[in-house]
Amino acid sequence: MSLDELTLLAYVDGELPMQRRLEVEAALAANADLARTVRALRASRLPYQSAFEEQALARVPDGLKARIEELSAVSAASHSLALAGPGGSNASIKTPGSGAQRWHLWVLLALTVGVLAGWLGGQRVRSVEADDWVRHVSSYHSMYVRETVLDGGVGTAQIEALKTRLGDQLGLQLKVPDLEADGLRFVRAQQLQFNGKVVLQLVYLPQQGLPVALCMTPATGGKEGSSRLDGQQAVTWYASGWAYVLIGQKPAPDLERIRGRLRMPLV
Amino acid sequence: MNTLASHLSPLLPKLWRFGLRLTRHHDDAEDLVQRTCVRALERQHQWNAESSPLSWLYSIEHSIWLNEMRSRRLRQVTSLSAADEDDEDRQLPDERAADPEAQMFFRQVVAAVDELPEAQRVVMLLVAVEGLSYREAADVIGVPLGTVMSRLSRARVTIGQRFSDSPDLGKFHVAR
Repeated sequence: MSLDELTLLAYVDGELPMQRRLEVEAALAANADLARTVRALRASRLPYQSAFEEQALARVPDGLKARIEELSAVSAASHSLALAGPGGSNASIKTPGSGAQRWHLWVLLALTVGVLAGWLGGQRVRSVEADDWVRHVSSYHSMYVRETVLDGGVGTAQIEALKTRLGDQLGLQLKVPDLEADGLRFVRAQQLQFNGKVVLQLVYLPQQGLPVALCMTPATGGKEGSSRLDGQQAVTWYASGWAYVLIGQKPAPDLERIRGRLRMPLV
Repeated sequence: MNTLASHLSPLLPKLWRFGLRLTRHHDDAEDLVQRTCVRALERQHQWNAESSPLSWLYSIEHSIWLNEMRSRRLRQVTSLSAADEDDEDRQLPDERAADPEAQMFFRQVVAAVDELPEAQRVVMLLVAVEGLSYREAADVIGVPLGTVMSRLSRARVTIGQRFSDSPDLGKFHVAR
């Protein structure tokens, strides 16, 4: 940068000492090009922050928010473990190798909860191609209308019977998530089957719109992301030997946000 | 405890806005912010806890995006507001009852910054919009202080030439 540019910028922004300022003003009086540059710099003193604050930007996606919170929690846990690691409270975190060690521990924990699976697998977390079972349950769920479940709402007896049957026959203990806070009322539970594997379907009803399904099946892994299937959104994840999918159609509640709250095993 | 992880969620809105403005694309911004957080946590042992976490995170975010741009060899031109039909719920409606005249002027200011050459645009975003010092901006983008000031000067001359004849300039410009 030439001295002139630097000086002119400081002059326009009022950052020059008086003596230097007088010198610049003398130069401006004698040089039309400099005067034009200063006029432009003066005209560029605009309310940039206010202008950009007025810009209507998309809000932080709930799914991203949930993932960052989870990453932070995993990292904090690994930090605590590293501090209390094999050396106990004497373990230093400033030794040359300790950063890498802590990083390895963090990756291990992140992989354990599946946060990094999408990244290390070389795929985007957001948008994924749905697994076969997801496509099938999505296709099945696309036939649901409110009337499908309005008359067959679940009672305590029905869900207890299903839990008992799952426990007796399959050794499973199902936890039905309460999604009332998301505006979803639990109305039905069904046991289905796909390729010889049990598929559990929990159906929730919003105050308006079509039913939302939470389905799960035993799996050795699963894709995390969001897909468009049969005009519906299918949000998938994997936890502790089970693959999960939430299926809904607009204006369904924010399924990615609900997924963020349903990280614990449900079976 | 002042860990990097404890700063991520509070700073997420700023990382998100910077990501959106860098990439000009919703999905790219989402990927960029997540990659930024992952990389920051990978390298948190390099972070000086006495320094600003935001500047450090911005530098990672900018670096990842720069590499992404280099690998793509193309420039995203999708407008921030040009969400696809499925994305209408991603736009945050501006509910503030602002003066229409001011809104029009603000849009012109945003457009003027948006149309700068990329290197100048990033410096303007960091200094004029995010409020970073020249030194912090230089650290974020990894260039000498003089380069930041040179880019800023050229950017402001370009913008100033555009606004020199604006009838609204007297009403909205920032006096010093």
